[in-house]
Amino acid sequence: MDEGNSSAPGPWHTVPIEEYTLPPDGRTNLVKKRWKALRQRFSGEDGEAEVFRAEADLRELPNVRLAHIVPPIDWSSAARSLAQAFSEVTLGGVLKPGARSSKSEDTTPWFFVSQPYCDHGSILENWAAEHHARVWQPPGTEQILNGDSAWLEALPKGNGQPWVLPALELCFFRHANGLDLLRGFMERALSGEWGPGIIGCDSWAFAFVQRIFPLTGVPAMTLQAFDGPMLADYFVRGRTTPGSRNQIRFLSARSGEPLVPDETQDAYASTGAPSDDEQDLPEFRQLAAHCQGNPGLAWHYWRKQLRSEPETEQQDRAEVRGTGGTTQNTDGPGSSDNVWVAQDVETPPMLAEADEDVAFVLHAILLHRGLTTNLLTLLLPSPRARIASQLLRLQALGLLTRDGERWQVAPLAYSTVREFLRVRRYLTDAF
Amino acid sequence: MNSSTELTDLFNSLDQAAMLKLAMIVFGALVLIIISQRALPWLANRLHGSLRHFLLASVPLIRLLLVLAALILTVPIVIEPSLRNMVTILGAVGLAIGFALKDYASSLIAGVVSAFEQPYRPGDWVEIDGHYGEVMNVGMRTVALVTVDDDYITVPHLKLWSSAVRNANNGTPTLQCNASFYVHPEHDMSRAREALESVAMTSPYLCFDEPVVVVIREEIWGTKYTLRAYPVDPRQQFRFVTDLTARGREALTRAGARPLLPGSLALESI
Repeated sequence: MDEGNSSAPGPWHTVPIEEYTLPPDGRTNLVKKRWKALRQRFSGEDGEAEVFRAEADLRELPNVRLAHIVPPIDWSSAARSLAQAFSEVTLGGVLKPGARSSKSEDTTPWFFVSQPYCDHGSILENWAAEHHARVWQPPGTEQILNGDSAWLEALPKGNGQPWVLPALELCFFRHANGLDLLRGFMERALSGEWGPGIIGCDSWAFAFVQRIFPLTGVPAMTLQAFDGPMLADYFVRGRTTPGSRNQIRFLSARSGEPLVPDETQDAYASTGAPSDDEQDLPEFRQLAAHCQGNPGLAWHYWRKQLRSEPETEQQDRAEVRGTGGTTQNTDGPGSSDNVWVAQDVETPPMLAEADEDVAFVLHAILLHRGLTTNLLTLLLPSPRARIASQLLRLQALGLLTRDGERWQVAPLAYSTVREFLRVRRYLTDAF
Repeated sequence: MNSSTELTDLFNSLDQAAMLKLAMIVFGALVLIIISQRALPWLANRLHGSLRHFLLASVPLIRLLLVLAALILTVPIVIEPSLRNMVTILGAVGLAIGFALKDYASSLIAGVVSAFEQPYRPGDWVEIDGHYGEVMNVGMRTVALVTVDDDYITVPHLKLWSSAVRNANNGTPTLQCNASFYVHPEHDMSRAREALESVAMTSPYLCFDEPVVVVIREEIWGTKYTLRAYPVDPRQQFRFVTDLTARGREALTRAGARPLLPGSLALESI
């Protein structure tokens, strides 16, 4: 199989799901997070640490500048790491204990599981485009609810060409009538009827699918967690153009110090290579731990953390108007552009009186990676009016966002929502 | 007259300082008991799962320990704790209780036993003497339940000596619920079973940490299905069974299993 672009996928590594390792500070941060949640629950207060710059004086960056400093994640590098893993698996290279024999791997598919906000659909479509694989679209709502096998019959039989189902979470509903198609698909896919392929699945949906159709021995891969240095590498080096004299310096609003030491950033600028030294990057370590190594989530937090001086903001606006969207620092050659990084991002608080209706709505949305109001009404035992009212309330609190017709858990609320469901013993993902 | 003097000799003379000490001990114990009885349930009801049940269960035990501590501190102030004095006092108290307050004392002793053996704790779902409900409070003499009909029932601990106590979750957040279905025998059992399993797996109340089991029994009048599953919180049990029953009946009809009775909803919970 063609490996496509063989350039290194950078910090992206696709690993078996059981090898996913939380960033080093994960446990400590988890304890801190739970303590903070507990304190908020009982006191309603949130202790603020002393900060170098009063964060209230700093302003959020304008969207254009934000898009320049933190552009959307380019998932093609993740697709390259997936390609590497896929070729190793199909060639019988890295089979783990408990997995099937390498021979059967040639004909049976495996799972690519990603956490929320890591766009597995894009990764798999990138991979499919590189490898001329067939991309299968999910069935429609009616087809799922009627268990319409026409969708299954329409999928072409295996001819050696790999295939991709980018989003398994869109192929079922947590409804007594919404699982037949999933079971039928899994049975035929795992029997090797369609040849080698990759099934993309959200981590929450994967946890549920495993209960419906036990997947013992089926390889499941995921993106390895990003730790602090990897995030620093991605967010800072990614914005440092080798040879460029105008560099963005990210300063901590807590200490006033650069997040990445200047010499390291200079090394980035001159060589374009990440530093090999073990560095103490507390802000990035904290970010990685808070996001449990999820790069997609970290991207949202990082954008929210960036601030500018009020006067810089005005300057930014003027520059954006003058340059058609690109920003330039006018301080002279070799100067740097300072961006402040807030110590913490204000996350939407969970409702103190959140009842089971709230839990049901949030859980259903996470299991299906977004649902419309109509589908929520179909899946949950509450009346439509109550569900609609809950959705609006959760949206007002910043816990949900609306993407067209589909409701999603807001990225900044994800950790809070996950913890809310975990302590109430709802099924959560494996991460 | 002589015996009256001897009885008086059992007790220490209570001067003002001793009285103050006694009052402080009693007052302190009462305050701590009230605080523990209010604060712990308040805290527990803001938590979930095992921690909630652990905190609720600790309430009667903490109260008993506080009462014992107060007694230990009080007795030496009131009487000289020699063997002779203790035997005399306990004998007199025992005699009074034996004749006049037998059941009351028996309930108090059963209350002490219940604090250690824990046949029921606050937060448990129990059936005592035909009453099924959630234990709201375990007092010194009685246990208070709130039933599904929102009745507040007080049962003396005395029942412990003679009645069976059925505890559905036994201090944990794990409580099995059963939904029963009665269908005509002519149907595809494996389809019906799969349909019921799907019903349980798709209920938003389901706790995935516990198994889902479908029990099938042939009766002379037809087939009985019992769907056994666990909700995430014991307090959801009736809503969970309702959800299973309503959707289970629909799923069985889709699977070709006709209900035997019109509206064959048999709600029961163990």
